[in-house]
Amino acid sequence: MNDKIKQIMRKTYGYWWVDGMADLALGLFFGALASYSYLMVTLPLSKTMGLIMAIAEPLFFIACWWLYGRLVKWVKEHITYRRTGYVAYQPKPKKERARRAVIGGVLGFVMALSVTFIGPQLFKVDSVIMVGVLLGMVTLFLAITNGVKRLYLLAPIEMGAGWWVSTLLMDAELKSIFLMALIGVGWLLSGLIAFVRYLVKTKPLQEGDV
Amino acid sequence: MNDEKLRDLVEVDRLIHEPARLVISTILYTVKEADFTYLLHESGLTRGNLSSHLTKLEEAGYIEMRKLFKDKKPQTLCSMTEKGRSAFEDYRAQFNKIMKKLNGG
Repeated sequence: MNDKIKQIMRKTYGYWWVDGMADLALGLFFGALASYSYLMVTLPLSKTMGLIMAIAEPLFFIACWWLYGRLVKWVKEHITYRRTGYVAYQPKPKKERARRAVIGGVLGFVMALSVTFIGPQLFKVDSVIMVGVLLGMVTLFLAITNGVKRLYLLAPIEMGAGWWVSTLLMDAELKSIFLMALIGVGWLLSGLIAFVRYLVKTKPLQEGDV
Repeated sequence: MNDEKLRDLVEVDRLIHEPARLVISTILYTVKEADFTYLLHESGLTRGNLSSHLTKLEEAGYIEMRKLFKDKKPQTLCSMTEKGRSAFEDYRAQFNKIMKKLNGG
């Protein structure tokens, strides 16, 4: 019985991922991250312009994240909720949000440390391999906690992509950008396939269904 | 099964224990609110059946239902009350206790 309850709870949380919109948003985000970084590396920028772009980088990502959030909400309101219903999730209590922020901060620090120091310096592993492994682990965590099967496939692909990119003959900075772009494409494909499957499997509600 | 175990089973909240209402209660415990369409989709019940189970839960004060219009279409939003949340938690605790006793012999 308890297993069934847990299964229903996981499925309810997993509803956020049912239409592939979250994947698409993440794919677009990684795409924006890669594009911005590519422009910074390849454009012949003056010292001032380079500084402005470096300062604007986090603002650009926050703006992208906000924009994709709006886009996901709009699509869900106009497609998903009209087909399979509306759900609003419980906002986490303040204590829980603070705990998650601390865990997120520590994880971010560990990830940064792994990519810049632990991997390349201690274990002599290319930093793109570390990025691939860490992002793959995050994807695996999302798959387990939300019960999203397609993410179980995406996680090893991300890890493999890190390893494959490390074997390419290119500048280290370009390798990281290329990996971001590849991971973005992975998320976009995952989202597109999920979205098409969702559209095929469901239909808009008839009058009076709500 | 001895008397104590039997008494535990009888004391389980039957309003929640019924399979369809257990699904509905679990969903509403997990979310802030869900509409009728979502519950219909996830429970696999007919409209009439779902309506009847929701009414029972509402009468017990376990859930609240709000009717509103969205894009000129009616929408029924359901959410679990504090009383319902507490009853659901008690149900889970009690059921776990029974399972433990049964497994322990």
